[in-house]
Amino acid sequence: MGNGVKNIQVEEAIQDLKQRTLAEMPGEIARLVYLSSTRDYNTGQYHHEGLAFQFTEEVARKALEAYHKELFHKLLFGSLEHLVYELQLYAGSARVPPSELLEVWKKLEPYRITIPLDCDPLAAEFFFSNIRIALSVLETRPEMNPAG
Amino acid sequence: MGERIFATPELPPRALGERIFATPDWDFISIQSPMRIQRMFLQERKAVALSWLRHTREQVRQLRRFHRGTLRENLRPSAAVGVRLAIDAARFRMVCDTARLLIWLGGPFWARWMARHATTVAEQMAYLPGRLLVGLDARRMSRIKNDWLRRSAA
Repeated sequence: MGNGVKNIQVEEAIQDLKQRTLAEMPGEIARLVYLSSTRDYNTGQYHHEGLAFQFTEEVARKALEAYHKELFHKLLFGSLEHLVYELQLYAGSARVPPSELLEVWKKLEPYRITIPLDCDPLAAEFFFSNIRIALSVLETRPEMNPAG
Repeated sequence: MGERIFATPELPPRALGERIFATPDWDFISIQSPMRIQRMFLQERKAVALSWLRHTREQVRQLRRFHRGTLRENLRPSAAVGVRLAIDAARFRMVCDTARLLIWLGGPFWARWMARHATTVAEQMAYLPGRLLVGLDARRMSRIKNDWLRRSAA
């Protein structure tokens, strides 16, 4: 780990992140979306005020980046069944009806911003494909379309 | 390529290939989803499998360029190494062509064993030139690196 930042500090920051900020979030997709939202769209740099205050800016950045990658890989290499479950959890906890969320996700594809910056293009393609399948699977489930 | 020394061609991780061609996702979809979703799943997975194959082939092509150009001129490896790589390249082409045919005919899961075999051959091909680089002094390494950068940019 370069620039004098020790692995142990980053590990502590990750634990802190898991126990505080991410603890209340319903499932892995919600956490993935949150972690990617802590990244600046222009620079790709992560930022978290609380974490940077408690540790340092650099430790916070490395912790967010490392945990984002870890979570992404968990979903990438996990089963499709697990991804469907996580997506259902996320859709069920959103402030909009699940059917609306599924429609917006299919149209706008916001999941494209959830990949880590240095993600392999093939891994990204596989992840997007799995999300598209998971969205279609969920659309067929009655609990996702309570009105229909 | 074992330990990656500089930006030499890099194969897709074996785990990703295994994941793309693994059958449990199909078991889940074929049991729980309507025919429309099953068709969509097979189309999606077929597209990704073909991308994987294209990507792996491209990296092996780069690796051959690296060996035939940069390594041969700078390190002058033995003829045996060249013959070995040529045989592996022919094997790799054959395995990839078979995998591609199987993907087109029966879908990605028909090609599972061939894809695994292609990865193994590609890894063998990457290992040999990688071994030639280990233990080189910084000056030679830098010369090889610059030579490869020049060729890749061309």
